[in-house]
Amino acid sequence: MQPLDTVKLLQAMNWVIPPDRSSGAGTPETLAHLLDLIEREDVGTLYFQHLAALSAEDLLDRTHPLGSLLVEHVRDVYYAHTNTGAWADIGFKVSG
Amino acid sequence: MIVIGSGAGGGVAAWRFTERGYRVLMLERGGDPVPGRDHLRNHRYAKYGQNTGPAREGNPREFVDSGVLKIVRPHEPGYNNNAMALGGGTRVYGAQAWRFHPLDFRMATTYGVPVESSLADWPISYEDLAPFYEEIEWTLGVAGSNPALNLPSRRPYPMDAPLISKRGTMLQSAAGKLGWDSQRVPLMVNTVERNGRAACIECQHCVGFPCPVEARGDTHNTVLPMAVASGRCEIWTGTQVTSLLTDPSGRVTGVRAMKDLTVVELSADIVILAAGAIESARLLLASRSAREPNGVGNNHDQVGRHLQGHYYPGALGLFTDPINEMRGPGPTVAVTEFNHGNPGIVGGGMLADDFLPLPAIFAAGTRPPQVPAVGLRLKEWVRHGYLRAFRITGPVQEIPSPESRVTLSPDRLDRNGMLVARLQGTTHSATVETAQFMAQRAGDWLRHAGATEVWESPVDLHLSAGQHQAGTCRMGFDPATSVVDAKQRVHGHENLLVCDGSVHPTNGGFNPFLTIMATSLRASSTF
Repeated sequence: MQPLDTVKLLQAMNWVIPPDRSSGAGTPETLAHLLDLIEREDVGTLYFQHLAALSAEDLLDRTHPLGSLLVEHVRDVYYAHTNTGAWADIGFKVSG
Repeated sequence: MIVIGSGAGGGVAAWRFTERGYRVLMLERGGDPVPGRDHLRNHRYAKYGQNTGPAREGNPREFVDSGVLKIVRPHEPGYNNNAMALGGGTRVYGAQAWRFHPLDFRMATTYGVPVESSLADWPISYEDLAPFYEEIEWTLGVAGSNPALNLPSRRPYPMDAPLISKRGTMLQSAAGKLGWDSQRVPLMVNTVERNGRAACIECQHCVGFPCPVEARGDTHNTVLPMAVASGRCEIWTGTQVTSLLTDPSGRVTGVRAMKDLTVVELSADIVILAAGAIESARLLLASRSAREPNGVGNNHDQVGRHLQGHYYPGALGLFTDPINEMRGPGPTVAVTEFNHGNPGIVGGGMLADDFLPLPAIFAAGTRPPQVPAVGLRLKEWVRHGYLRAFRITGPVQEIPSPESRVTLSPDRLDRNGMLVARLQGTTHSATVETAQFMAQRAGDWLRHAGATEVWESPVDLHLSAGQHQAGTCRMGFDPATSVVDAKQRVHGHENLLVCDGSVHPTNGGFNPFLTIMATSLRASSTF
């Protein structure tokens, strides 16, 4: 997989789940899950081609080649894993 | 004897036939064990893969969606995968152990036959099935309210229902305010240690996953061990049957299968087909001979027709205070008032509080219409709503259509060289009317329970043939309009039985696994 611009990726992840009183999705923990998903789904090239020009508005554009896919990926990994902060944000005490 | 498929129907058949002294070879396409709790790859949230078979690649189906042919993989919408694993769908099911209502067996007589539907009565009655329901409930172990409502008098369940949750108590009270009778949802889950299996640990994630303590009664931990313990049952996993073998007289003589990349031919005096409503139909259609060029049992073009499942209409309610205690095993309280007797509605359905969704599922799909799929409002909704919102939902009686069906692709093969299934059709408009009616009742229930906001789910036309798939080898007296007789023997084939949801002419307004088990037990006991 071609290396992705992680700074831009972290920014885009925070567009999907923004920080407020708790952190957003743009954290190293969530990023690691996202990169794993990108590799398993074999969509690294798609990310590589469209990430650099991606804007926050593109996330809501259903015709954008990456926007809605990234929304689903980020939301899924953020809420699926215990170490992203999502479960604690819901009210769970996360222990290991 | 060969049994094809180890799920609800096949597992029970293997048990009963070994008990009767038959020697059984169980052929299961899937594997064992089933992987555990990956929230992104399971049978409840299959977006990136599933925890059962078939493998993601090499096992496509064709799905005709609004006239457009799509090629779908097992974890994708439209495939309608019923778990392929040792234990079949029971390995990842919610275990709601409902009997069908007596009128579910008399739909055509009760309501007439809607235009363009193939609504039909069953050739057997509730009374024919009642002793087999009871034997399954007591042998495998069901926990529930005693007595159950809206059914003829019956023996109590062997175990009491789990301790009721806060939201369950609220729902019972709300049902009372509405003048509705309610009952605990019967579950094939141990609430006490029983039959060498543990009691439920209330982990809440039954559906979609294997049970971590084997408290849930699947076939792999109930009837299959009993069959194997008889010394007369052998189980081969990873074995896909690709055709039934027949002699020139039409008698079924065995099967051809793919095991470990090798074609094997196995002979048997009796073959039990229990691969689910899609794969059982596919296998019959793929088993062609000079005598039956369109497939075994298909000289009247009935195999694969009347494909149905269940619509799940409902409503989402938001409460002021936290109401979800995050305790399993799942749905707590049900109302069966609306399964029949609804003015202007054909049939009806059961309603209950839904399984607690995983956070990922809640974020992805349990949202009011005004909450966007992205951004701060989504985050705030999940933060506030996850413990305060839940759905009331339930399966509605589907009105079958002959045009909703399983056929074979003309040219697309799976990894073992077998023509893949093609699914097509939609649901009958009468089912949509029933679904809309039930969504409104779900909304009523939530409002009376104290929900501050309620959103009823929209209903649209689509083919529903997922985990409750049924109807494709319907049971009946007339070979021109059915595939199997009242003893579930394929018409014209005395030694070929179908023992899965395929044989249901209609699929009730309840989760169907208990009926699949009861019909299989009846067929296996009376053969």
